[in-house]
Amino acid sequence: MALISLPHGIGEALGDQLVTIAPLLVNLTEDQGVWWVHHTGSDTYAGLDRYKPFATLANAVSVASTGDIIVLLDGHTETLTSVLSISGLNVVGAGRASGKPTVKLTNNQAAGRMLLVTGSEMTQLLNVWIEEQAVDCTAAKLQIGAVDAPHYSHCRIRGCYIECGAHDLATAIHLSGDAKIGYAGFVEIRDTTIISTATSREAQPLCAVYCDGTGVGPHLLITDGLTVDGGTVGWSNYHAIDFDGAWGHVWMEGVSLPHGSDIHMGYTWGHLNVQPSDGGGRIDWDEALL
Amino acid sequence: MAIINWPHGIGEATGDKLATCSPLEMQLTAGVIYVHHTGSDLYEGTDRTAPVATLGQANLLTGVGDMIVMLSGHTEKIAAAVDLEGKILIGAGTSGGFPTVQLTNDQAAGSMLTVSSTYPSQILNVRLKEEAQDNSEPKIRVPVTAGAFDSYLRIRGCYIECGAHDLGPGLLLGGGEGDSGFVEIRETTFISTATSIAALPLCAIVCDSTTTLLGLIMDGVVFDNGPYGWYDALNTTRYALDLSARPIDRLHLERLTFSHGADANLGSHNAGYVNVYPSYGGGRIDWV
Repeated sequence: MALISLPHGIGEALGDQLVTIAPLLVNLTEDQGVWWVHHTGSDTYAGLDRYKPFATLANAVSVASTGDIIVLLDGHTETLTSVLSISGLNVVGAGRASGKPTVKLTNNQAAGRMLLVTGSEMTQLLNVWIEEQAVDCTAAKLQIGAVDAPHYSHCRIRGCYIECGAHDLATAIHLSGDAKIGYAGFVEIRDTTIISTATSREAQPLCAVYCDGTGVGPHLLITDGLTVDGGTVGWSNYHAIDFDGAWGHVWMEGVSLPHGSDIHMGYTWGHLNVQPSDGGGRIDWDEALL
Repeated sequence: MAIINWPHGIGEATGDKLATCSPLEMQLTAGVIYVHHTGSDLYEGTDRTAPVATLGQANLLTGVGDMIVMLSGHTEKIAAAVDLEGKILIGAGTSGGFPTVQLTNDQAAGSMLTVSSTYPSQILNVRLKEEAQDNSEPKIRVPVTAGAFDSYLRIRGCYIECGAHDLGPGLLLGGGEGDSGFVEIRETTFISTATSIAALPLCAIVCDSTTTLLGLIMDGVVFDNGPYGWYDALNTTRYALDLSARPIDRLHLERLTFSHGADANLGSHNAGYVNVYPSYGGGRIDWV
């Protein structure tokens, strides 16, 4: 183990509280710990100095160890061309402007997930703007639980802004409920917006959050301050959030459903509080069997 | 099972946001049971104007996912452990920054609240007073048995006092045959209310030697030594927060406050991060 003291924290003025709070003590299995990324940097740098950051998140992920913090510096932009497994890492964007993250990631794959969370180590994705797909893509932007060995995967998402456009043929966030390929275990989403940015009814994104229903479903989904916005033309799936037959628990507080986004709660147990909003959003909840 | 819609929520003006937000929709086993000491255990408890009198009775009437609402000002002495088993225990009402619902444990060798099942449970906006008599057990214990996924417990907005009779910790992580899952603690204070150096409470939170916790999340948690602090039989440093006994896969500890010199041992095998707010007193953190 290696104990790192950051008396002034990560040192950012804006962004997720993980990069603005101070002091910060970090205890890690390896001695590097905090990696820096900005597209003006270089992947030939060591990435351990904020003034000599890596150029790509992909490179940072390739060298980081479980539990490490990867700081995407203010204004970083990146187009991903292969699936990036961020399991066990803390990926945090610095900077905010007009209430949104300034770090932007875009997926440019036809059938590849952008970010993948597997394994049982806790993962965090904080204060990142994920833009609509660059090309037609049949895979989720973020999938939680997806390996060929049944176990639970855990993820916290906070302060993100996720756009889904005409090329988003799959859901933005996929919570795996398949006993054969691994479950989403504990998933927490806070202060995050998922919005349809489509401009035509003929080319809508699929949905914001989807849980497949072949097995147990996510064990526990906690949301607080989740906004799912139908934008101008909404989603192609009837429900923007769709627990399709899954079992599990949900504690959803402070959900906003502007512009008619709908929720299908499936057979989940728990509670849901929806804030007043414009549009005719509806909630469908299937009565679970004992 | 039942799906119930509350257009105006639970309907409380103050207290945890789950009691004040609206509208609210829930899928439950039985429903919402109201508790106040001026009520009667002969009531069904489903009507806030006819609450049951005791938490124990409310627990008997509820199942997985159900909500037990302790109405503002409810006070009760607990004489037998209440196993939450996937329930939401919520206190209504706050005054002066403290929850107005007050529970006191009155057992010589028993916990007040336990989480024994794999179903996620919550304890929200409750003031747990110091023990009424010498008690070697923790106030809150999670879990007491193992499960396929392990337990999840969220504590939010609580105020937990530990005094001269608290020979066990305020919260014990582990302590059974199996592992804990995740524990999340938000906007909660653990305070030593001892009035003599000769009779100190054990500590605020301790991690049992049988535990392998997957994750401990804290945000806005205060550890306050009060005038005399803690005893902590595990360590001579007398930690308020002692996670040294066993590994925790991941610590996400943000905006912690250690007042009046409260100390923490985060355990040499525990990975993660901690942020401590400036405070008075000489609190220290040991993490090697």
